Amino acid sequence: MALFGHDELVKSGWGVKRGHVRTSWKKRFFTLTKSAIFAYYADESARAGDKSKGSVRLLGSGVEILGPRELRSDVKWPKAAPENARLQIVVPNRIYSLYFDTGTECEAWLLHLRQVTGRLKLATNAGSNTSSSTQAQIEDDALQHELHQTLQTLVAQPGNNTCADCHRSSLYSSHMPTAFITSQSFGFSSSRSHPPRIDSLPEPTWASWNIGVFICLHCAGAHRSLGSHISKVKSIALDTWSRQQVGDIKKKGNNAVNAVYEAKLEASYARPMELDAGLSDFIRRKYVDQQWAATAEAGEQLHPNSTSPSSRDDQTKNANPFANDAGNASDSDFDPRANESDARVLATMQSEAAALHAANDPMAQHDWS
Amino acid sequence: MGLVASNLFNWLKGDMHARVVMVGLDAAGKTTILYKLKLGEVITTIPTIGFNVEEVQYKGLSMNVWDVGGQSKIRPLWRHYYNNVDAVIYVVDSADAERVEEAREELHDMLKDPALRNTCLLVYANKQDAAGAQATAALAERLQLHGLGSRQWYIQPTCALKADGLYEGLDWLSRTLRTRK
Repeated sequence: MALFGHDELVKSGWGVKRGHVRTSWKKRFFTLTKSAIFAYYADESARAGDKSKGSVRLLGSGVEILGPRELRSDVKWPKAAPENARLQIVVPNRIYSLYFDTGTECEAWLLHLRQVTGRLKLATNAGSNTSSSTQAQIEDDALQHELHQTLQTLVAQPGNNTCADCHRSSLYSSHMPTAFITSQSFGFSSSRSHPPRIDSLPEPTWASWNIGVFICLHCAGAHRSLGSHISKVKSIALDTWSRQQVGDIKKKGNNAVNAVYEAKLEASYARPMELDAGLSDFIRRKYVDQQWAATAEAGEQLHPNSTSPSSRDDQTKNANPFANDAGNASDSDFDPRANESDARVLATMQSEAAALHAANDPMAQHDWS
Repeated sequence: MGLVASNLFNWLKGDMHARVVMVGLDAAGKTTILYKLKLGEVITTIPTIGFNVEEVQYKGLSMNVWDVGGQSKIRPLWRHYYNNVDAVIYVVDSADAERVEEAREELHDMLKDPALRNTCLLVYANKQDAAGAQATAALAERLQLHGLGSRQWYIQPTCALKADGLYEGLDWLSRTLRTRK
């Protein structure tokens, strides 16, 4: 198996692995690539000669990465294996049991394994009191899992499975790794003096939760350049979400939002596809200038600006040229092409737009319908 | 002894090498800053997944700058970049008032790491050109920089798009690192 052709090495290092047939524990040199190929070697020279003792591709259903607190009970671990440095890789017909010298090394492997397999969740199971994982994060893990599931369901829906802005078709599948979609390597090599390149599969793995759309990585970049007062961008896989943020995006979605922001955009319009060749500009015109919005009023109602500066003013007392009265929300026209359910969504979008950011209490319940 | 001599020579010559890690919440402007420093131009960035690393030269200071992605779930990976770091550049979106608190928590969490005990901290209060950008003093207070004890820190207002403030920050960094070595 040619492991290091154009596949990139994400992580490598020494650890101890339990044999499959003969269940003795052997020191091995492990490697993991961006395309989720995990391999092990007797030593580094064997790796150079590509003489692996075995390799497995960790994509597809049935693959699980288990941390120190989630281990299957049927393995007898040697005393030498630190309790916080054990992990298991479950594939459909086999379980790989590994341990490392330290909990930190194990945690690093867990993070990388979960990222390449698209199963990143917080590394709450390392058992070490690491400085960066707070107690709050640990408690949040179950909620995050649930919200992530909701997001995955949402992004698979028609309309959402295509980038709201560039309309690249979705290649989304729940088994695809969502975490690694850029050319930037994760661990070892790096591009020097070249800005990060984009050669990923475009898929809506990102979202602007205040606008309410699912977008691809490229468009996420353009959205971020608009500023957080226009678009608040999050990754589905790599960010933590609040219930309210997921609720917000659930009530909108690509079809409903585009029915407003692209109401006057002709179907034949040739969408720019590259950031440097007009896509950034298109996104600015769509959301900031609202060149194609259903009506000026509808655009204003939906405009995130109509609300966020007011909350900002509360906190910073900065005069903001965009600030207008959040209470101005009123009924306005929206696109007649929108179907009835979209229309209902639009109505709620308009009425809650004002309340969206003004709510100081994150738990405040909005009546969406 | 050879090392001392070599350090002395470098010091006399004025060249100094430093390893710098640049972190901060997602969309703060880290990658834009890195490539503005490196290439002198504004590039259209996409969210950084993983990291970018560049060698940045400024007035005899040669810095290896690591720009690490800031999405919340990959922040636990920051600390894998802390080894042998001389300085931390922490980038904040000054206009994102809603997330200053989150930025403060991440910053203070990060600085608890023993690997960063002897590092100095440069905060770039970025996006000063944006509507609603907070003043540097207010940000310093909200980030609780005054509670950092003996750590040397400095907060520099910046606008990465225009390169405003970036080099002033590096001036401070350079001076601070020189007096240490």
